[in-house]
Amino acid sequence: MIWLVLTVLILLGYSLQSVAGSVHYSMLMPAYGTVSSPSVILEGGNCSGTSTIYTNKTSAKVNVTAPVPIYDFIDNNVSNVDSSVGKGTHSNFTAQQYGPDSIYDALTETNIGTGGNWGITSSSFASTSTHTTYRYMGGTSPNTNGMIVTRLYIRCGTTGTAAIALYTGGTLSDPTGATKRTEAYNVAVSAGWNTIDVPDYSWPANTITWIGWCHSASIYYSTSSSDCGNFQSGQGRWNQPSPADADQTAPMPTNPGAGSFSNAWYAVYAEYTVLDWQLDLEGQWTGADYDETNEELAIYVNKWGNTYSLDATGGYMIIGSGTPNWGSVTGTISFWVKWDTVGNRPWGQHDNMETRFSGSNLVLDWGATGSLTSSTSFTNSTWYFIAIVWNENTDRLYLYVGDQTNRPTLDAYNNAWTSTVSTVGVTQNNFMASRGGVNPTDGKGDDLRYWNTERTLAQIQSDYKTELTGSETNLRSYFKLNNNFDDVGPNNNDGSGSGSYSFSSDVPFNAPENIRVDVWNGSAWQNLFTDLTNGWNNVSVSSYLNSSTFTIRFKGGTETSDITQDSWKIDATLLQVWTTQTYDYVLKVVNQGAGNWVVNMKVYGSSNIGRLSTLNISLHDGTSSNQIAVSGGSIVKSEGESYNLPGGVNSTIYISMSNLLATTAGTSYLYVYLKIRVPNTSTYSLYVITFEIT
Amino acid sequence: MKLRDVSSKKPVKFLALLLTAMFIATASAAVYYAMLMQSKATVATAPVYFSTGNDSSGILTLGTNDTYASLSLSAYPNVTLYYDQAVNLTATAAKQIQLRHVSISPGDGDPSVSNFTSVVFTLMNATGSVKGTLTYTTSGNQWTEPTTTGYVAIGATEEWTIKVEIKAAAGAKTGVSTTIVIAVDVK
Repeated sequence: MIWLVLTVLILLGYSLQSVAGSVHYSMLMPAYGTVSSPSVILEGGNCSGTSTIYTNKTSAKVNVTAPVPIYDFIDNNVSNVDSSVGKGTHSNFTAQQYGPDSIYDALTETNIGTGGNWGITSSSFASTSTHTTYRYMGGTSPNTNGMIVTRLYIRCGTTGTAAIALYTGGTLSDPTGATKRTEAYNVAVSAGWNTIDVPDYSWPANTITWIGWCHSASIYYSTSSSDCGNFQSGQGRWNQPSPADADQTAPMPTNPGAGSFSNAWYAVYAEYTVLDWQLDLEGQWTGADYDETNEELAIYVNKWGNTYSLDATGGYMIIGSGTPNWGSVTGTISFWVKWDTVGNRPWGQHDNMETRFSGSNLVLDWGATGSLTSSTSFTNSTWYFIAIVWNENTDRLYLYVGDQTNRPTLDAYNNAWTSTVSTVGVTQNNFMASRGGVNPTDGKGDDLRYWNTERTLAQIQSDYKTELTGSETNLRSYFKLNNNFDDVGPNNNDGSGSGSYSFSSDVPFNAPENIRVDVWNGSAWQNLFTDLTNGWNNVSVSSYLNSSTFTIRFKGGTETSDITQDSWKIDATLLQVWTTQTYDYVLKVVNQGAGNWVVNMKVYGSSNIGRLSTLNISLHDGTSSNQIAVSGGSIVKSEGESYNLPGGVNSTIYISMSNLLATTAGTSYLYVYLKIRVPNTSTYSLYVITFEIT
Repeated sequence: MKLRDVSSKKPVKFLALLLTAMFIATASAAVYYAMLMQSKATVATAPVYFSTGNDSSGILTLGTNDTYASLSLSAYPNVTLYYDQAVNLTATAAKQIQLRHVSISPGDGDPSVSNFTSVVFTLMNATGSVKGTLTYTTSGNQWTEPTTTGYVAIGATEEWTIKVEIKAAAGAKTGVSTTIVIAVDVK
């Protein structure tokens, strides 16, 4: 019986264990926490009133002041430290004395080219003759870039009528290969020198050139080769005997005909102007602070930007409500166009005031059908500049054509244009189509301008690749087409689009030439910027700002034979001077025990630090460890490397703040942990330090 | 009494029935052998046991078979002291573990309680992910005690850690101490 009971108990115990199924146990872990004083404490720094140590010396607040730079805007633009003649113009100098904002000072180059004469200008010739054939005299044009022939002169002995023209090409011994470039005919002349206006012609340098004429009046001449002036002395004049009776009331031949030389030199010459657009404008500070550690010149530039063109793909632009009438007595309409398919009508407001194509040549119906046809045969995918200039009072109708690499020149003209556009009215004023959407042209158009004056070639050339402000004299409507149809001219005929169109970033011209800035060092100019860029341009001038007077100058980047006028928008010009603040130490970290520690700092929060230009917070004790860095309003280093705090009685390291500078007044906060760690472990405590920077 | 006579009595019949039932309950050979193996492993060493962490030096005392651990921690006034790896847990078999509050002293109502601000035990796996937390805080002389973390699985050969954060109150008296007993339950 006993054995039976024991067997049952054993089996029962075994069965109960099996039912439990798995091991289940608990491990106890008592933790004994005892309050003790930390061996590392914080103490105040050596900058009075900058630090507050809280209870138990394990947290602190640091309050310091950040200097703000002095912003000293430019004072005047009337200095003349180099005794040179200023070049260029300001539009609104005071705009540089504040900002940046929407108001700016446009610096614009002025033309300092003087021009000259080429040919025979002598008034001492005694002989005169009257001939009935075409005569020519030739030579090589001056070695000067940017020449524009504006007038031709002829000295007559009697009254009469004359035709006179300028040719280029051929050889010095034969003008028959030359081409007529500009002329006037059926011009009444009288005894003495006669000044004859001709359409402006861009005259290339060092080019074989001929002046041809015919007349019904007598003309002075000399048979002495010493009187040849700018014409070649070995040849004399070229006589074209056919036709035997040249018609001075009709245009001169497009190309000189066959002929021969004789030793006679006639009193004719060409007058030219020279384009040389320059900028040299001084600006000056008086009473400047020149004792700061850091001194910068800062210039804010708002360069214009031709950012978009109108891409017409069946659609077109309506000027204003379509009713603006550009048919003034005198006027200039210009635009850039790049055809995807040459043809149709790029501009027009009426069937007697529009542009259209005949083949690949542009035709102007200007007061009548077929007033003028371009000599240029236009092609696809090229940006062309086109300017139509008319004057009903002088019966002149000119067409100038250029492109991205060639300045506009006279392409075709009609000096006997007797029609009028001031009377035709307007059907609908359109760009990239004509008079109510007729024949929309396929391509891109840009920078449409309407002036109510007859612009000269020199004027056209001066700004055809420059975006204007809209307030230029005689400019009435101006469409930049920079992603909108705004008319920034005084007419303010904001337009609208019709049909299929978009705005394209493909533009015919963009930024102006470089603009450099120099500083006067007391005896010479030293360059600071070779070119200003959009936005702020900052450069140290500490080596130049040695007195309360400080002078700079704006100068064009291309100042020799500059044939293009440029303009730049300067929004603000100032001296920015400051001295950063450094606090040797704002806190001490003191180890009161024998054990070694390592410490580092880490930002865990911040507020309004966008105003802080620079700040470094470091640990130092003989060596320095930059722990936290702020630059340009951002935290660029948020945690520092470990720094040894050795054991010993009152072993100390220091927390410094250096290079402190703010852009504006205000209060900023940095919330920082000082991590105090047992070396080679992850046992540490975090002391909270708040940096308040006012 | 003859054995035949014994088997015919009611108690003996009941016993025989019980024995038969037990044999039926343990009829599965697989269950039978698994239980035997478990039994042997438990005897040899615990499948989860305490081990030293990076911050154990000078604060950790391990008991027999490493199934008991005692921590001696400092608490600084007004600043938190962190022991990122106060003690580790090493597993030799896949198990489930949890942290559980056992006791705390001095208890609620004792004035010395207010010398402490908080004590936090955080169970973290090898990658630093938090798997459970026991947080003790004070309000005056009262402790707020945590609830059990709940079981989480620990893989075989994994080594986890218990992080301890302890903070005394600003102006706490030096020498005041507290004892918190927690348990690591394993199943």
